[in-house]
Amino acid sequence: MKQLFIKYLVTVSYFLEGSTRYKRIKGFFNNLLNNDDYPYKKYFDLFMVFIILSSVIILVVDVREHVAVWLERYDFYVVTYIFIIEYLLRLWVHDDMHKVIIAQYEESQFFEKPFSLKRAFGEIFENKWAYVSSLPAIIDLVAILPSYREIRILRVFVLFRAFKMLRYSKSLVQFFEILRNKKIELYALFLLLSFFTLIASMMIYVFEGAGQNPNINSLFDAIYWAVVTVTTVGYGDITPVTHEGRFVSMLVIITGVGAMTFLTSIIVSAFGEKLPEIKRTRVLNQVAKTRDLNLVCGYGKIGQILSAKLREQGEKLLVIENDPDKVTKAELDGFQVLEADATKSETLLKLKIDTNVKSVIAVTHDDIINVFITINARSLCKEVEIIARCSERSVATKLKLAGATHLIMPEEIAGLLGAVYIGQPVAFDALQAILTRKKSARIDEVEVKIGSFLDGAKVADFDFSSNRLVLLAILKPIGREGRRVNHYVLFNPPEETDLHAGDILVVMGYTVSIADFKGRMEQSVRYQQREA
Amino acid sequence: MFDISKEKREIILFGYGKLGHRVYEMLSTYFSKITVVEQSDTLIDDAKAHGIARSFSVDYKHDQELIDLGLENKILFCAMDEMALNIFLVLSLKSMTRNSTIISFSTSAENTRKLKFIGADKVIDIYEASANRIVDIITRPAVTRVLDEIIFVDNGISLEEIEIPPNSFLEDKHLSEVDFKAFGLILVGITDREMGDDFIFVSRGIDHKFDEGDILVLLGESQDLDRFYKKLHEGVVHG
Repeated sequence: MKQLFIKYLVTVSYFLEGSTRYKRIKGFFNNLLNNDDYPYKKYFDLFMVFIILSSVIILVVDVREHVAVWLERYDFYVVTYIFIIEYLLRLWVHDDMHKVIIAQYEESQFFEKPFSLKRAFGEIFENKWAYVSSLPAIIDLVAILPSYREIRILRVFVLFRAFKMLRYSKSLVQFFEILRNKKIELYALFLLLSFFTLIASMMIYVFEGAGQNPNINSLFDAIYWAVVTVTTVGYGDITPVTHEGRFVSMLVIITGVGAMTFLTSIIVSAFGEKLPEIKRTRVLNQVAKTRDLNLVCGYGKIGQILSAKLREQGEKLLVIENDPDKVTKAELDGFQVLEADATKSETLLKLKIDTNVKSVIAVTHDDIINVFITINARSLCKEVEIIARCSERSVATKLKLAGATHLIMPEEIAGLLGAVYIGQPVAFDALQAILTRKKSARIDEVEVKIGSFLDGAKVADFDFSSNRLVLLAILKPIGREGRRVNHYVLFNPPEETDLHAGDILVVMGYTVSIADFKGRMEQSVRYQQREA
Repeated sequence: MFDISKEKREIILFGYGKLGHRVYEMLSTYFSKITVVEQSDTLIDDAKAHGIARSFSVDYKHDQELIDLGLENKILFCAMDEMALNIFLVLSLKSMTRNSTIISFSTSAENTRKLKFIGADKVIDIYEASANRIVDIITRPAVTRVLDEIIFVDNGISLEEIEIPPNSFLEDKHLSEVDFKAFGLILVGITDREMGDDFIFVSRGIDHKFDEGDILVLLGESQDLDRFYKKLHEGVVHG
């Protein structure tokens, strides 16, 4: 019989291990309950908060007035059962029972020992107990209890339903995390205060407990008085009447004020110490769902101008800087800043470089750090665009090797601009105007959309000049490398050049003309779709 | 560089430090007559070691030493590593010359403003230029690619300005009558002497009438530009 049971157990375990469906279902619940990055967890959390609030309100209203029967039923059946189901689900996803059985079974096969049910279940129980005995699980369990109306004292546990909300609120959890760091100080203060309160309550009891004070009739009254006084609350329902008692009061008050100040300072300093980390978490949360993010690594001279210009262009950006002064400056300038080291892979991984990052721009003043950032980024993601700044020529080759897509050499750019200016001041000014877009003429790029009026047409089919545009070049795609598409440039394309979807037209013209051209492109696509 | 007179202009480069050295490298690929001036003797030794014969050590505080360099009708390039020196230098040079073009580098918007205020003809903000380039790479990659091909890559395609000589075939013709595409060229814009020195982009749609002295900014391959330049000067009556 036992052998049959073991055989059955092992077969089921192997079946579960091999079943992708089981794993998928379990994975789904695990994500829903425990994975903060899972998009639907948010809705689940909101739902639970709603359930908790409604049940707490029902229970509180029920204290003095009777709520409608359906509400009571809702509270008893719906809420309680949801809580129970949630509790059981959490217990279920906490670990895999079948894995323990398989491990035990394989071990017994290997050593040719009999399979011990006791050991297997012992280990399973141990794993599950680790969950059951954790604080959140206890709160969950206790929160189920108030539904049992027959015992009134259980209603106190309504409070635990409120505690349960902690689970669904990140910032509240964070608050306790912060206080936990000051455990030792808080513990010391608590010990000191308890000791002092005990002494004070005994003293007042000795001086006034024997009938001198009509309000102090027991040691409990004395302790109550001491606590109320030492916390500087001072209700005044019990006041000392003897000189000795008043003397004790004075000591308690002075100590109490000191202790409360100390407590405040502990909490404040805990937050002060954790502030950078809190900020970091907040920034990470904010950008977690941002796509096409540009990471500006380094908020030096270039970083500052660059960030401002990118914002002007409506690009999404995040400044990464590890100098606290520059972090503050960037914050004052109104940018999202992450105080972190961009040469650490952890930083870039947290920002989900694979999916969310469009470009990494390494513009610190130190060439070597820029090389490090480039290596770091490229090693984590093959496709991301990396723009790196460097001053030395020798570093340039290294940056290329490390995988930078574009190099920025400020001195070279400046020298080139100088040379162009000396050679051709008019062309230079034209170029400057186009580049900086100070005047309204500019160069822009327009992609030929699938099904648009230019898809499959020839250059001659569209009269650029009467539309006040100059077609400078066409970029034709030649193969792709992951997300990046490579192009070759066709300058001043002849009239008979074929146009296809995916080609990029580089046109020069005034803002209005370009906007008009782009609009026409969009419209023709929509028109085509409607026809289809 | 089709205008010979421009290539003849001499350049005096002030500074041979980190920045000046790189600027010299860039300039020397386009221009031959470059004089390097530095305050520091060691940097001048560097320059001499790099084979720059025309390099002098000058104390900027001594006006006479600067004047002795012969500043008139030259392009004066201020590329000292220290911004304060650049500002001081521009100020000195401005007070000494009339017909020179003073170009200076700047490292911040504030310095740019100061340099312009004291009379530099052109101020190039190193960091802003770099930032602009990064922004272009991110926001308009295709445009950047095309401009790179024009400016940075040596593939024969360039942006050139050509002045219309007297009695050329363009004389009294309108923009719409001339097919630049037949020359393989793109006309980007024109500076008209008659209308003041304003730059007119072709795409503005004005049917401009060409005159002698107009400067055409053309984009195209070197040989096409060459051909066009020769055609422009064909039948020009000298004298």
